Amino acid sequence: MSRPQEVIRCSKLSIGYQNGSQKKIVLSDIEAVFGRGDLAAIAGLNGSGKSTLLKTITGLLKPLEGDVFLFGKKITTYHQAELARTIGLVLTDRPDDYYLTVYETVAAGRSPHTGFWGRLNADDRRIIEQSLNYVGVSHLKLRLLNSISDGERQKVMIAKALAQDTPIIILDEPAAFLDFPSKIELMQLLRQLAEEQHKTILFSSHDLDLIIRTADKVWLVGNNAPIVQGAPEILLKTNAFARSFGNSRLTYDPALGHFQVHKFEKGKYQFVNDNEDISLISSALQRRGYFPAGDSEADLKISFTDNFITIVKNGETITFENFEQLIYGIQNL
Amino acid sequence: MTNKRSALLFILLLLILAVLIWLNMLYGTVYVPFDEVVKALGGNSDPDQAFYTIIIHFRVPQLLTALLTGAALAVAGLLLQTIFRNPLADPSILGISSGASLGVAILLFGSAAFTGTAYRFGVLGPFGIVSASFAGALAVLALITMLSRMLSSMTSLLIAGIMIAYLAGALAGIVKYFSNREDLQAFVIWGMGSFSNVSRSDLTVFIPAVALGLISSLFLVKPLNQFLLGESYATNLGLRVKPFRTFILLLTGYLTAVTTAYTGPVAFIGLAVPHIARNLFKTSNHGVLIPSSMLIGGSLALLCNLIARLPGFDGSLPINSITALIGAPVVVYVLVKRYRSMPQGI
Repeated sequence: MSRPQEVIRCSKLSIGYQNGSQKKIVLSDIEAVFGRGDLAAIAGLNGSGKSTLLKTITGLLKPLEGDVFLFGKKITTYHQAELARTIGLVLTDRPDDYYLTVYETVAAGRSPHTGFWGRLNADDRRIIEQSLNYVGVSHLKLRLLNSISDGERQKVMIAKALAQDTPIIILDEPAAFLDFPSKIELMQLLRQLAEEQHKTILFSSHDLDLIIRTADKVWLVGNNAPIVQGAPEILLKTNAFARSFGNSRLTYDPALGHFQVHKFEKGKYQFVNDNEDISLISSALQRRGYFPAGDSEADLKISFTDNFITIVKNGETITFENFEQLIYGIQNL
Repeated sequence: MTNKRSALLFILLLLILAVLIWLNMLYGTVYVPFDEVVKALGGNSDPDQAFYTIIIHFRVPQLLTALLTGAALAVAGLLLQTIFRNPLADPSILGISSGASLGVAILLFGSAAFTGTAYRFGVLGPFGIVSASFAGALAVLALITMLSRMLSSMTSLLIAGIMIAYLAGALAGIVKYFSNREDLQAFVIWGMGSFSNVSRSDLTVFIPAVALGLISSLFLVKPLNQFLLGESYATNLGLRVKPFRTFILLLTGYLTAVTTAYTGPVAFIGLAVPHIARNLFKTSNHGVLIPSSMLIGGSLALLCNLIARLPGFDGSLPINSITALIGAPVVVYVLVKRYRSMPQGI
């Protein structure tokens, strides 16, 4: 198998804002490479510079130092029209126009390809329909953009980016305002785009759980910390998330598949034997301030027998008859 | 199906326009009979006849002025509303009209101060008023363009524009205070707005000048539609936002300046017409909005001109009052209708 084609490369990149002669550097010395079909995430807290980074890679902001290369060519040498056919952008901004329809929004994605008058030919119309279909919003095409839900609008903006027919798609906080099922659906859509259409997809998010579920590559943008990049599992293994976020109490529970902040730690628990409900019970325990014991001594030892579940707490044994009793029992621990 | 509806609406608007043009021929301080209008327009009438003179030398120039001014202000309002992403933007709110007034005030006062005589005896003639008004509008425009680079929020830019309008108005007031009486009167009359100040010979300048601006606006359909998605999206779609915005400001300034110079400031057409067009066609597509705003703006100006010269009024009423009388309720109606059904507000 050959190496994937290099699509985006950041080299000695410093990003930030320039106001006259004053420079405000947000992040510096960024080195990164993204290939064809990569689905990568930029993770970081709000205000860490994620958006600045995405804007620089999109060409909305100029690099303060260093370069961004797209397909080996410096982004600053790109013609704006050429850039419009290279990167498709999806933002959280809500176009506030009243009468803009879903169809017109997706059709705007064709505008880098149309002529002076912006007329759509048969090909353009076909691509618009395909894009609407692909993200599953065809039924909304005659609706007004501001009359549909946030999740639907996000899909419409992705359809716009698809109609733009660019090898790269960049999304700023695409899941920010979405409910949980829409988030998962959106991430599956991005995954599908990367795999089926070999697009290089870069999105930012502060939702670590979501990133770990979705991205092959993560760029961790920490507060006052150098950027760390790698596959999410490798970053988890090296505890990079906790370090980047400057919060040592942040831990990831692979069994539960989410992050925890050990805030009010009452004690540690351990399961003596296995059971199908372990992850649910863990969830209840963690909510009440008990965390997995790991190698250390556990304060709660939970064991399952055929008829009972017992918790041994400081030598005292509490017995529950079923799962439901146990869960309510945990809440009274 | 929506295309069919739009086509029908366009035909309807053209019919209304034609009717208004015709009514403007017939009615005025005197009634000109139908067949006399036809004869005069056919040119086969005795040139000495009164009806011929009224039609050819007064009514035709007047209605062409109204038509073009209405169209120009409506398009200027539409462009400003799109680039400011604000339904209340219009040439008078941004201070462009006030700038034009200030220019005229300074010219009248300046000529009196330097030559010692009232301006209307000055060597520059109407061309001077046009230039002064144009220069005043451009000065405000330059200021707003400069501010637009400093202020990132379009709302604060709009507020700055409103302040500039007050400032220019106040300065014009001070200049007026020092003007002599004849000039003051000329200024006040100019400020009430009138479509009857363009003579037949002025038309040879006025028509091409306005047409140039109107035709230019038609070339902006694609970038204006891209701009509807917001600045960042428009940039990503290949639009060079800064030069585009500057060009739009210049074009609206030009349209406002050219028309205001001849007619005096005419309020509310720029504000109301784009809203009427959007509500009628239920679209934001500038390919529809620009031509329809021209038609509606022209018709509205003709209607106002007709009302201002209704029989019974000695001479004609100030156009500015009529446009405000019609325009202001329209804007309130549109805003109430639109934002009541949209709980998240503006």
